[in-house]
Amino acid sequence: MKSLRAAASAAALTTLVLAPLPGRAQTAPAASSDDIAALREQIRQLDQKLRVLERNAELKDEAATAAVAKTPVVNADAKGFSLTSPDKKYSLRIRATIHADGRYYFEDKDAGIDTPDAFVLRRIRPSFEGTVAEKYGYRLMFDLANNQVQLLDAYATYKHSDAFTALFGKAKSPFDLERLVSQTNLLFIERSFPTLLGPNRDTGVQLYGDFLTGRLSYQAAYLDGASDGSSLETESGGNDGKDTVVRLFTHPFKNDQDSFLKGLGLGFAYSTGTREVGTGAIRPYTSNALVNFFSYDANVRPDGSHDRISPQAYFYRGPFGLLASYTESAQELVNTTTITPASKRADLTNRAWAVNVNYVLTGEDTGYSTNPKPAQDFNFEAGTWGAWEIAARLSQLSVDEAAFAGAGTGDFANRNTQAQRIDAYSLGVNWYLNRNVKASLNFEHSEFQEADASTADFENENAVLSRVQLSF
Amino acid sequence: MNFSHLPRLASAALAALALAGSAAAKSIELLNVSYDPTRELYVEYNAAFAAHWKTKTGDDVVVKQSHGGSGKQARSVIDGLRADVVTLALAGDIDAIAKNAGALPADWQTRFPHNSAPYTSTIVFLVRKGNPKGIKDWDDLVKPGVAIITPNPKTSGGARWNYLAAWEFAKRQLGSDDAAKAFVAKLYKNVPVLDSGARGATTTFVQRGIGDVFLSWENEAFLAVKEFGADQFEIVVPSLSILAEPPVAVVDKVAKRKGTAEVAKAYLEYLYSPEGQDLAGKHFYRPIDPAAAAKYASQFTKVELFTIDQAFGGWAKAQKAHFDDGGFFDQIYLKN
Repeated sequence: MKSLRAAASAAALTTLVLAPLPGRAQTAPAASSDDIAALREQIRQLDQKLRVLERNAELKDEAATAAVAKTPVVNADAKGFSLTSPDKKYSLRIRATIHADGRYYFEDKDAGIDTPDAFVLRRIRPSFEGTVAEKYGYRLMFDLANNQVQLLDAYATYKHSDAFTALFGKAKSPFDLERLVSQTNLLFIERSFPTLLGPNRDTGVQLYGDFLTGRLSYQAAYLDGASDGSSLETESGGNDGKDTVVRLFTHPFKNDQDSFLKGLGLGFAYSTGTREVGTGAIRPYTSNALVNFFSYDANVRPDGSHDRISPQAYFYRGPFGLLASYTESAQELVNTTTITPASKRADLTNRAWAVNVNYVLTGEDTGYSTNPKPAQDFNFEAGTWGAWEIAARLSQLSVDEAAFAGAGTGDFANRNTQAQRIDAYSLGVNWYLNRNVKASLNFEHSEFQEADASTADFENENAVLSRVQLSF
Repeated sequence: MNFSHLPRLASAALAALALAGSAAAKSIELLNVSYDPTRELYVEYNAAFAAHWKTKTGDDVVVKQSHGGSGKQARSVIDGLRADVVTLALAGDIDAIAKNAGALPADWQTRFPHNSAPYTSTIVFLVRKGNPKGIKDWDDLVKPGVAIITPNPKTSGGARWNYLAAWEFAKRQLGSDDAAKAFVAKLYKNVPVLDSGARGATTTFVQRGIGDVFLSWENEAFLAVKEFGADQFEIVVPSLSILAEPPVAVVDKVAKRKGTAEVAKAYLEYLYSPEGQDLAGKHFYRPIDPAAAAKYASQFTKVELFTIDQAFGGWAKAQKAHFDDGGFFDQIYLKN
């Protein structure tokens, strides 16, 4: 606008100065002082009009800027749909995950083994998360699969600093490495055996944070207590026993940009608690294809201490990833059919481990609890194919042999029908069409070790699992 | 080892800490939400008050300032701006805070002397050097070709004083409210730019070089002449103007919550002290204290002043009739 005003003024002045020149050449009458005064007034008026236009435009811009500063920001992107206050102190993000699975079992139906092949909605999970008053956060997540509503996450957080955040409510217990991977970033369709021996979600108080510029993180929790692989206590109400969970995890080379080991993470988790005899049965152990292979007798209940340990590690570099964890779960059990004699009470230790390896064929980076971000989204017409990843897993879970000891078929588990150990390998392919859609195909092979050598061999299990995931 | 004495030691240590804490000087922060032309006054006044309060109590007080159009500032306080005190252009804006936010009682004007207005001011004309359009009084403003700069009465307290002064002048000259309305409508036809506050309007007139006359707070006009030189601008005092009484108040709701009620009250009381009154005069406000008023009398031209109570029956009535949605100003300006 300023240049416009200058140009207009210059044009007017040029007119004023040059106008008499032809007059001299043609001896036309010279401009009078009145003419010059009139022209000057015209220039002044023109200048004022331009200044007014400029100023009004300036005020309009100021008003627009002020309005923007007061307008909440509405955003829709690959991370979901969000609403944020202008000062960023308040926000709401709406997210969802849909897992549409297919399961196909290759079994010897003639031998009477027939796990139904099925299409299932494994997870239908809307979630709402955000902040209030800047330092306070919240998250609510529901699961609508199986035609029922479950409240999975419901918590509030207070973030004092990177080194200290407090969480109150129900959330994942900070114990198992693979459990803490988000549902949308799983390498395989189902998590592996160590998660069966750790707690799932639990209610209570958690504290967590980072030190040493992110190289050391801690999590500490005091929780109601959840049984192995479960979000539920097995006790009836009124249980005083609580779980204490501590987890330390370090990335020793995180800040060494050139280090080969930059993506190395090492950690250790420990939980301890007590259980009282309750009414709930202990959750069965399942294969990676979700078929039960071990259950305690129906009347076996936890009664006493329950301790767990879990050394855990991962390493990620470029498209390569490796994740390994080991879990021991030791708990005192009682068979409530006869609380005495003492032979019906035992302290059993079950163990599980898993090693996952993955490689992104299309070269994108992989990482812990993150999906590769396709360099190019899938577009059939354009001939771009998203990101492709292959994965392999070895895993094992073994039940304490003492579970099968005793008279009859065993004090705590039936040695004729329940496996003592499972060894499994998994092969997988993941196709990331874009940042919101993923398709997975897994082959699961499991072999079972009988507790009693005289028992007929259990059939190996082979299954193909498939999943289409949509998440935002 | 015997640890039995530890609880007593711990108690003593805690007590000592508590005593040390209570004996330490406090650091207090106040927010003064004010209107546009008071920036310079309160910069100097805040420093003077901080020194006074430190001497009196030993506590440090830092007063933060927020400035803008008076109506706009009132709206911000109603919307949650945590002002300990408000020092606005007109009582109507503080009434709005009392009414809409319940942040202070309706009789807030009785809490400090002189209807809680520690200084007064009026409206004058600032014209360009030599007064090229020969502007002497209000009726010169409605002549064709005169460009007037005044802010938006919807957002600026000063603009409302301008508007009402013009209205009363016309009513006295022409004899009726209808004639006054037509006069003011004609006046606003000559307004090419409506800023949201007095400081923005000053920028428009002084720095952007727009307009022939700026309807200005008296102190703002003096400030422009002082800052830009008497070779640039002249002050014209009309035959009649309005006695502007910018009021002050503690925002109880905020001050109580922040624990600043005592210091907030003292902050406003200090405006009535000889030091506060002297600073008001120094910054071209008209002091109410006779001694300070006498000291600065020579800088103010004598002018016939009327009050809003005399001419309009108070701010509440004036606000409703003229500036509420659908009021006279809307009728005039939207029609223009």
